[in-house]
Amino acid sequence: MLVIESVSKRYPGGVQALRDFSLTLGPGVLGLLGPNGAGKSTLMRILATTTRASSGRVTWEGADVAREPDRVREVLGYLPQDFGVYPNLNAIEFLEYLAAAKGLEPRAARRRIDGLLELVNLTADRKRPLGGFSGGMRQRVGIAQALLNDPRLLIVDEPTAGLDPEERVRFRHLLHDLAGERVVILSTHIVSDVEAVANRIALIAGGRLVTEGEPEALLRGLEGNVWEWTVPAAALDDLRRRHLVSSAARRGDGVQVRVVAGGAPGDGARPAAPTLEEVYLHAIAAQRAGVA
Amino acid sequence: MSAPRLARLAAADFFERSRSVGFLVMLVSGVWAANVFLPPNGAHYATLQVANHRALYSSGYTGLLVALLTTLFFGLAGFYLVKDAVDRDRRTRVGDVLAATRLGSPTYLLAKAFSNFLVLASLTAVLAVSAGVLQMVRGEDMILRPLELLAPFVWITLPYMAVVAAIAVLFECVPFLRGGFGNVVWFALWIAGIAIGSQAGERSGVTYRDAAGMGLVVPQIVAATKTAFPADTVKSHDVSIGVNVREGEWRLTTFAWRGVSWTTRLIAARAGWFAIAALLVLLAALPFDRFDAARRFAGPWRRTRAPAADPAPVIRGDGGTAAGEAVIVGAPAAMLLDARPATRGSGFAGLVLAEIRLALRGLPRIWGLVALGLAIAALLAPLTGVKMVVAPIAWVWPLLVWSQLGTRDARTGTAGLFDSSPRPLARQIPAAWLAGVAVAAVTGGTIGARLMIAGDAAGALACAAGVLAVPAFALACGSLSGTSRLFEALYLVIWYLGVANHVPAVDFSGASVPDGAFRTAMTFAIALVASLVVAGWARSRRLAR
Repeated sequence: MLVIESVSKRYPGGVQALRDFSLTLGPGVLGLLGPNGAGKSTLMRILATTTRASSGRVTWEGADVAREPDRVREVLGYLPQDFGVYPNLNAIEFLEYLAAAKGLEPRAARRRIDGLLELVNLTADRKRPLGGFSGGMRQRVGIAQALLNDPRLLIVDEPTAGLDPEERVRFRHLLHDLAGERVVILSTHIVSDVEAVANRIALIAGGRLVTEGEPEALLRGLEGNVWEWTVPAAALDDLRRRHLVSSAARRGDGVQVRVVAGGAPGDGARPAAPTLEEVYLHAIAAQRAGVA
Repeated sequence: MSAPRLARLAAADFFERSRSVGFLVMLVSGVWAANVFLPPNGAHYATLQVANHRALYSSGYTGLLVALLTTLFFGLAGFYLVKDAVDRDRRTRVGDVLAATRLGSPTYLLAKAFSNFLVLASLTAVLAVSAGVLQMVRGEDMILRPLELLAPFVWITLPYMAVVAAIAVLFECVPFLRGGFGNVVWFALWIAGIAIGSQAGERSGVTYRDAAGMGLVVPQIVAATKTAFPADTVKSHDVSIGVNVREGEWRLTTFAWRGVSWTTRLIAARAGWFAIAALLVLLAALPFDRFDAARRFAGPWRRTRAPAADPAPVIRGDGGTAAGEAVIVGAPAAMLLDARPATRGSGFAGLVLAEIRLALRGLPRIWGLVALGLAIAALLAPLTGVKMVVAPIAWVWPLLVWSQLGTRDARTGTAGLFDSSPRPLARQIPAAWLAGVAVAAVTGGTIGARLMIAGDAAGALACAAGVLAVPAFALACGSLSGTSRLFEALYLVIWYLGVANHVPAVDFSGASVPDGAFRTAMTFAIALVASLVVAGWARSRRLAR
């Protein structure tokens, strides 16, 4: 179990990236959603032991990760955002290098690498220098390295960036299959990724936890606050100024809009089933209004 | 810390570096250098002589000569070659992954230092083999004794390379030594080390002040010369190591000598440097930030920044919407954006000003104050003082500004932005060069003005050539290599020879005699054109990719 207790992070220069953030995680996939600069990557780095919290505490199975980082590193798989590679090594050599860094026994590592390359669909390219890989292929190497030590805690930061739709679906399935008894933390901007695999969602903004819970519970919380109807195209700008418009699609008779609002936002507006994206938009807007 | 794990880490790192064209070029340059280090009698330069004598090219002496010069020159250059091992992991973010593993900082840094050492040892091996071949080519002693040939490389060059490899790692871990300032510090350390080391042997024979091993072998060379020429009063200061050029041919009298006698004491003293190198690496683990920006404290040349914000929200082409896309409730974009097209003009002066601002951004205020002080001193101080004191400082002070020219796009990943703007070659190369020239005009240019006022037109011309050519050379080096290290290494050598020691061919400070100054001006004018062509070629190659 991973416990995050009142964690704050302040960088030199005064940037406050996290404020009093608390969360307890058990097995399953947590989707961490938040806007730009929300503090997601900082939180990921603290959990991955690559930076320390300014205050507060993170424990993994009772051990403080700041004091005993190796306790969590032993079971950790981490894919950072903007992951790079050594361009002159091939996929096998690069993964062997990281396996050595993780302290894996060479023969076992080689067997594991073969399996992982198969899993991320890179077997045919395993002996090509990584410098010639596309962004998506490099990302798949990153995913493979995160799984090298069969981690019990898997932290993936924007893992589907650069993947094509087919690869994204494949990766979602992989995360879903991996979850089991593992703690998986998926940080992303892409709501549909979270929607597909997360059994729990945490929304973060301004370094604070805005809300968290199971997707179904979050959706239930917004029921009655989402409206759908068709408006003339000329009315759209005015509507956007007054309300939180979550989507707008052109139709033959005008623009079909979805709005998040406490009451009916216009004539003809009818209640609609909320989506996770609307949960996100509503929570972030409410948090911003609270801060303002 | 297990040795096999260390070896696996170092080997992978070494493979990454060795599978590049640059590495092959380095090895080929080793073959060329060995040929230069071993001149035949009658060449216009000598590389090791005691007064007017030298030993015959036996295996022992050939090995010693090439090993000493390899230590001297490739020790200096080697630092710049290998000082990228940790920074590469920082740039590629592989470091973030490594930091999240159980790999301890000492093990990681030892692996990096070992990989550095393997690169430098490969180069040493090429020079050693070349030395053996060249012994046969020169043909003064046709008996090849491999152990005598290789011993100086093993006991002189390799321990020094181990120290260089360790210092490179140490500098990468100390925030204020990580960048260009560290490169300057290394040059100063190298000069000081050679100077102290070459004197050390006179006092103690074996000393831990002599990392390069110069002082260790000089007494034996002197003793062998005295034995061969008993009538000559030869002393240590008659020994000259380096590339000593003269107008006529060198005709050195030769004597038979089989090289240094390697006693256990000598070997132990040299082997001790491997242990010192390991200690330096372990010392580096103390300031090493383990790729955590928040643990880094700001050095004099860099400001610590918080990590980059999360990436901007995106709208996915397959229907998935990025979080935050529609969250802003307010005026539609069409109302906020001015639909009129931007006025288009050449704006070249604006681009140059922007380049100057970028070049100077991030430097501490004291940097500008010192540059201003140097300019004032150049105009008001006595002329001799300007030539001897102000000029050497003024020509090295902007080093770290010049060395960034041509490297910014590679460092910041902005190549795509600039390459897609109008006329990238015709505008950006000249603008970057002129920004460097503007800085040079303040520091070196005022010295030229002072020389002109004093009636020294040739000196002023040499200075002007320097003002124009040095930034162009920096731009060429930066554009070619994508890093600041190439220029920093080469320029410091030129500065040391020309500005600090007034070797006429490269003295662009204007302190040389008029004849020399004219020749320098011509040389630098050619260098200016060549540098701009190289910078343009490097950029056009990037555009063609």
